[in-house]
Amino acid sequence: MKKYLFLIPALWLFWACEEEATPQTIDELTVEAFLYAGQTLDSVKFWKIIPFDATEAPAYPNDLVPVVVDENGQAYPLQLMGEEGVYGNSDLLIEAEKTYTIEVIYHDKTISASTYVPGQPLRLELSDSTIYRKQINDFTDIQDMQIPDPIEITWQAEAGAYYFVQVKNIENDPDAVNALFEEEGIELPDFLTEPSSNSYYTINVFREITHFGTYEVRVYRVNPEYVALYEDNSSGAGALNEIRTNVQNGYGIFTGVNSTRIYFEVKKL
Amino acid sequence: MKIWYCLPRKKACIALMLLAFALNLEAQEKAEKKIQGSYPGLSLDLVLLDLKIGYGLEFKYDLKDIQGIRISKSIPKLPLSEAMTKLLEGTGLYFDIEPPNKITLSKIPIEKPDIKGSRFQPTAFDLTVTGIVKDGTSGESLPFANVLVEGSTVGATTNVDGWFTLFEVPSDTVLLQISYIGYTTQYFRLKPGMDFSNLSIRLLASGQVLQEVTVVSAKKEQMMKASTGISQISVAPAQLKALPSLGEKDIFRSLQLLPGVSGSNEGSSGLYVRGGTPDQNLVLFDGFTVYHVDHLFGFFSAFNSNAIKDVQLYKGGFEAKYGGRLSSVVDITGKDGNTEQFNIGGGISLLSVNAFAEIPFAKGKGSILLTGRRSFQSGFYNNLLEFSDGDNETEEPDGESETETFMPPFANTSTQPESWFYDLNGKVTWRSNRDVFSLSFYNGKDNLDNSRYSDENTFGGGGPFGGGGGGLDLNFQLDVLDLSDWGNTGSALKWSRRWNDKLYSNALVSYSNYFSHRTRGINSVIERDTTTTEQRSGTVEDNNLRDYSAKWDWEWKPALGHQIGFGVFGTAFDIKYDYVQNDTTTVLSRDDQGLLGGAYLQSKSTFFEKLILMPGLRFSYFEPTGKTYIEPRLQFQYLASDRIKLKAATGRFYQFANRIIREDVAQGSRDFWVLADGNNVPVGQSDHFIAGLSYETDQYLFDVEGYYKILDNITEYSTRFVLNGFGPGASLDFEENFYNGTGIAKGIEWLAQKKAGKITGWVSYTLGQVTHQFDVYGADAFPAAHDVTHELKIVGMYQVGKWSFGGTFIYATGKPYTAPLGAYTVALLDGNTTDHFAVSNKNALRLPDYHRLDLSVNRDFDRFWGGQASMGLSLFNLYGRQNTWYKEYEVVDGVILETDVNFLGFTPSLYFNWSLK
Repeated sequence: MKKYLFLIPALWLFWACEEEATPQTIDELTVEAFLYAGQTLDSVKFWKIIPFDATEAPAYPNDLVPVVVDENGQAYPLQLMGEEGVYGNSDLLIEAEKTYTIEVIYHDKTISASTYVPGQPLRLELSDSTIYRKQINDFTDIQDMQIPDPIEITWQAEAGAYYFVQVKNIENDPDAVNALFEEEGIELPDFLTEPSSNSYYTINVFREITHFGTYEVRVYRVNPEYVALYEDNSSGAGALNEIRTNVQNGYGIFTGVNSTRIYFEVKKL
Repeated sequence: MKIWYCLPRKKACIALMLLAFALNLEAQEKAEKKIQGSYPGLSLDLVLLDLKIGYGLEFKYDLKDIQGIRISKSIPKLPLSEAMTKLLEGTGLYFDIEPPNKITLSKIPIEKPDIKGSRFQPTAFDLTVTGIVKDGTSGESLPFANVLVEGSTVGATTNVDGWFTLFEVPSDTVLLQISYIGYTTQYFRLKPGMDFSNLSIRLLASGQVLQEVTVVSAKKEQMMKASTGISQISVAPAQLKALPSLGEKDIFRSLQLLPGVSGSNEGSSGLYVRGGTPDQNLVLFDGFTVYHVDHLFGFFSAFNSNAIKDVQLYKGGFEAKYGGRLSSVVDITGKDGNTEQFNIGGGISLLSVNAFAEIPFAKGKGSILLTGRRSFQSGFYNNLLEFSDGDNETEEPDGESETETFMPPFANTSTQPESWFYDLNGKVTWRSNRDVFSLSFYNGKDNLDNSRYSDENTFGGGGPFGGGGGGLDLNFQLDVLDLSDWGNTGSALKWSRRWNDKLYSNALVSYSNYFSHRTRGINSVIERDTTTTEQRSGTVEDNNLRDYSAKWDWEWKPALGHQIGFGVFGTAFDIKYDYVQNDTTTVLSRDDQGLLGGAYLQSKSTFFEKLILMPGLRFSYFEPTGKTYIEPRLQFQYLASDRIKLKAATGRFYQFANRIIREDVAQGSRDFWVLADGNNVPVGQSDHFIAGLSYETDQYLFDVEGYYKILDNITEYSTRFVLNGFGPGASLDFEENFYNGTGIAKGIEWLAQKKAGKITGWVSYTLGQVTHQFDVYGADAFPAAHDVTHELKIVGMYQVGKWSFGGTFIYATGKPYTAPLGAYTVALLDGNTTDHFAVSNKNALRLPDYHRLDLSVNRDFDRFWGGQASMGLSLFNLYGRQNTWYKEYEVVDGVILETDVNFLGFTPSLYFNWSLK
């Protein structure tokens, strides 16, 4: 009889057994749109979340009816722009310091996001608009080479605002500074910095200016929702719960961007 | 059955003669076997070997007792007892024969208690008997040993200093049964004229001084005893070597084999007890609290088993004497050291070397114990450090898989991390008949240097933007500094006093410090011609906990079946945590101080020799919240028969210091201790409800316990980047959040244990569930990260002669995890992309089930370099099961790649230990 006493808790066992959770399915929408001040809105990308068990990327949603509304309530329907999942409206000219909202209905759910298009970075200046470098044609030139001074890029940073810098050689076929070791097909300088609240950037001329010609320096002002994408995004479980998006009922980024530019020349000595 | 007992010297001489005579008489009656032999100056051990081979005799003796003794005798054919008497004449040795062929030799008299009845007439009745139980070899006191009067319900358990008091002992000739886990159960016959206020009873450890294969006692307690109380388990550290290990006999790893303690946490030595987390488990070492129990990232516990005498695990519903934790208690008593003989020893494994010394002083009243352990970076160590044994499998959506070697967060692909740990234990003990003074000290530390240094000339250019530059004297140096160290320091000064037979006190002042420091940064230096540009970035993380405590515990035993415990306690906490980025940005800084003080009162009463009630009440005043916390406790046992026991317990528990996990998979998760403040970090609370039933025989124990635990004010920590505001004034803020929630842990544990015989072990099964509910994650409860539904453990040990074999098998349901349901990639303005995930409900999925088989074999050597030795081989994860620790994800070419980060695969290890005694 005693042995049957142990069956009593066994009954509890069956009561306590539960079905384990099964993976949920997902069919959600992602938005990617950068609203450049002074440009028309011609690239709002929509695509579906890649399901965990997908063996290939899901089809693009080409049957959406998205609408962008400006802060005055003016609505701009977006149409497919010829590329799958890419919508736009050439009549919508993005203006600085204005607010825009996008809305789209997907599976009876309204997906929306709002952003503010920031003003241009102000008082963009260079420490030097023309620099001279001696082209290196043989080893004697290397021995005689002087370290060039760096170029300081400065602008007026507003408190709490974020900026990044793009430096780009805009020549078609410029000569390389180091002709001795010049390689075919080498890419022209075109680099960007990560967003920060700094008000300056120093170009390391020796390392970063590898070709002669005209360079465009463009300073972008971006919003916090964009900066969040740059923060440490560990792929482990600890970071999985943190969804960095400003899209309601969806995913992705809908953000305004503004920029200003300035140029400098690199000439042969 | 054997006893050793201490008598005043004059009486001893007479007693010895009588005893020797009595023993020989008794032996003559029983030993029919006759032997003979001629030994011309042979050493005694060879003589015994000859007798073993020639007559199948089995001898048990301590090597030191027979060293240097030579026998020059010719023994005619005589009954065994007569032959032994003649053989040992003049050697100073006593012997005892257990028919038909087992013989024990000793330098001290051996008395065989007459279990059937005393040879003496009782002269006193209804006695109070007080004494101490000690290790038969080292003289160390043995805590929590059971002393019972045979044939009655009178019994007692020794206290932490080995003392016991028996009330209403029927007469001065009764037989006492003394049992202690890991020791042979023995009997002690009281005799008229003994000092009943100061008995000293010595026990032999199981397997101790066993020469030439013999176990004298029919019954010995094994390494685990689960029938002591409610949700209480005792563990014998000395027996742990029989279990498989990773080269180090490890207390906490062994505790993970017990029912109710999660056994599938290879990455942590901490104990998950009945749905609790490791920080909800109070760990006491000689009275001071130990806040961090891991060495080498959790592969080993911080405690050197050479320094440990006794371990008591309370899985829930624990008495009012203990507090400050929500779930469980591990109370570790450190060894005092040999009080009679100098002893040294040491050992080596593939991981570390260790050594100990035991130094008696004050003529048996004092002892000093010193132990130390230091790792060395062997290939085995590196394997553990890198987890390199198990390649991790990345599964692609088409079902095929590719493997990639996982490099853990603390490792990198280009350098070999340097790591070491050490721990030191010291204890000085002095005891008289009434007082015990002891000073215990512990210090352990881990160190990890995962730095990388490069020093590279960049002639010809390089760098990310092309091949400019030239042949200048330019030096570019990139140093990644990653230094971590963590550990504990603790010390306790204890004074115990036996005021009289009924009153005992234990005063203790202690200090405990846990520290953890990590510096991680990048230092780049560019030197060209006369200019040097240096840039630094990184993080510094520092956690420092100080605990200054004092307590005074009292035990009062007013009468048989009644025991009252009371005491006062106080702790001053000083906990600091700083997390600083780039030398200047303080992400998190906490500097908490607080006082905790209080008192408790508990009693243990036995009614009708059947019903045992242990009510208790604990009061705590916690200064940071300004509140008083009252914790009622109640334990209940009903002895339905000699074999069946019903038991139940309930109680409320509070926790004032919490360990918080800061998850960081990229750089390794870190944890830190914070003090409850009543706001962000509230005082944790739990209520336990436990009921169970056990059925026990001499050979077997069947036990079942169910538990239901309500947790309140449990805390999680999270950091998030949060968008605040909109428009020109919008900002991205880094916010820290302490999320508070509730939880429920419930389960039922079954245990079937075979306690005696050559094959011993247990099978345990736990059905459990742990759910948490945090408002931040929604209204529904979700499985806690450590929730395990089914856990089966099979532990077996087989001893044959000097060989012992051990095997453990663990099966556990996979743990919950939060998984991505999908992913998307966002293009950045610089042309790069970032991957993001849409995730499931919290902990909605389960990792694959965990299972593992470990085997071990050990061999004892009685004579090895003038002492004794043992050697063992363990095979961890014998069949190379790839148990998943956690998963990582990345998006590649539009599909999600999942990588399983696995625990250790098949890992063999070796150890060798030697000691003088």
